[in-house]
Amino acid sequence: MFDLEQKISDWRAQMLAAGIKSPVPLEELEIHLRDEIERQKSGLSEQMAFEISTQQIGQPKTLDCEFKKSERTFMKRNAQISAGVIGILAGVGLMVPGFIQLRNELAVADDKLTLFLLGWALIGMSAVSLQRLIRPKLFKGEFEQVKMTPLKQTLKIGAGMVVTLISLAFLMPPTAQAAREGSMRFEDLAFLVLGITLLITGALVAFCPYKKRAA
Amino acid sequence: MYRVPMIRKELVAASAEPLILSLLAKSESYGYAIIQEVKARSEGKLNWTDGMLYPVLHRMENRGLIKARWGESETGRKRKYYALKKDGKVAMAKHHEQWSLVHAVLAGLKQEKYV
Repeated sequence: MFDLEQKISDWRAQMLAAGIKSPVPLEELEIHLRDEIERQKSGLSEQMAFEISTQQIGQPKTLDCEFKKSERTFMKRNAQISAGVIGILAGVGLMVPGFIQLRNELAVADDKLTLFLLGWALIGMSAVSLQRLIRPKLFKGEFEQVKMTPLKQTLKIGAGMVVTLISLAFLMPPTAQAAREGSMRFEDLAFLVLGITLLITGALVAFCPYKKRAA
Repeated sequence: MYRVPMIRKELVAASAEPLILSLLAKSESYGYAIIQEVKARSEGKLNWTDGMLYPVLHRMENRGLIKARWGESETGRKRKYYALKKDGKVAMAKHHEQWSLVHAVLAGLKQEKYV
């Protein structure tokens, strides 16, 4: 005597053995199988309906491969985001000694300057990799990516980073002096405004390869 | 009468995403209904292996093109319903643009051949 529930249970076991272990895909597949059996049953025996439906769903190994591919894409994206965030944190960590010395002495020793620049480069690289993943989601359909050659894109990012570095040279001395003395002179304020303007410009040049989508 | 042959699996795979997005643009739906509608609209020529739809749906969900929720059918059976997200609408518009271009080029070439 054909026992449909037993057969479905065996089919689930086959799927599990093939590697489809997460409950959501398996549950969805089972619901699909039951729907298809229901449809097939209108003209066929329960056993035939079950056999045709399981064939129609596909081989467990092939299905498992496809689900794994889908998970890999998801994991890769998460790994890229994690690497970007860790890169930014590590970059900030490398820049801290230079910042502290600059705040206290208004000068940076060579070794700390190297770390400072290394940290900045790390932040820049991580920001570039993060923006590729995150920016398109932020702007939805309003902006589109500007098409450019890899060389042109590298030059653009490099130019943006140079402008940002120059902006830091303008920003840091007045900020450090203000932190030490608790006040800011007018010329320092002018340097600060110029520094912030350059910082925003540099960041936009480096990290914003988008233009407004034509209507 | 000339019969349209079954569509090759490469083309079936390439058309899965635009078809799913376009179907979900009409209303939210679930896996089984999506497959049945595609089969009906293509008169059975677009023959998906049923189980293959779900990895595609999951991939699209992970990419933020569609969203899913668990619900119940009118018969009380549990179902996972999928709906289009804003990014999915953008992706669908791009697909339509690209597929229309391919179609226009092919149609133009076919017309030239028979003129």
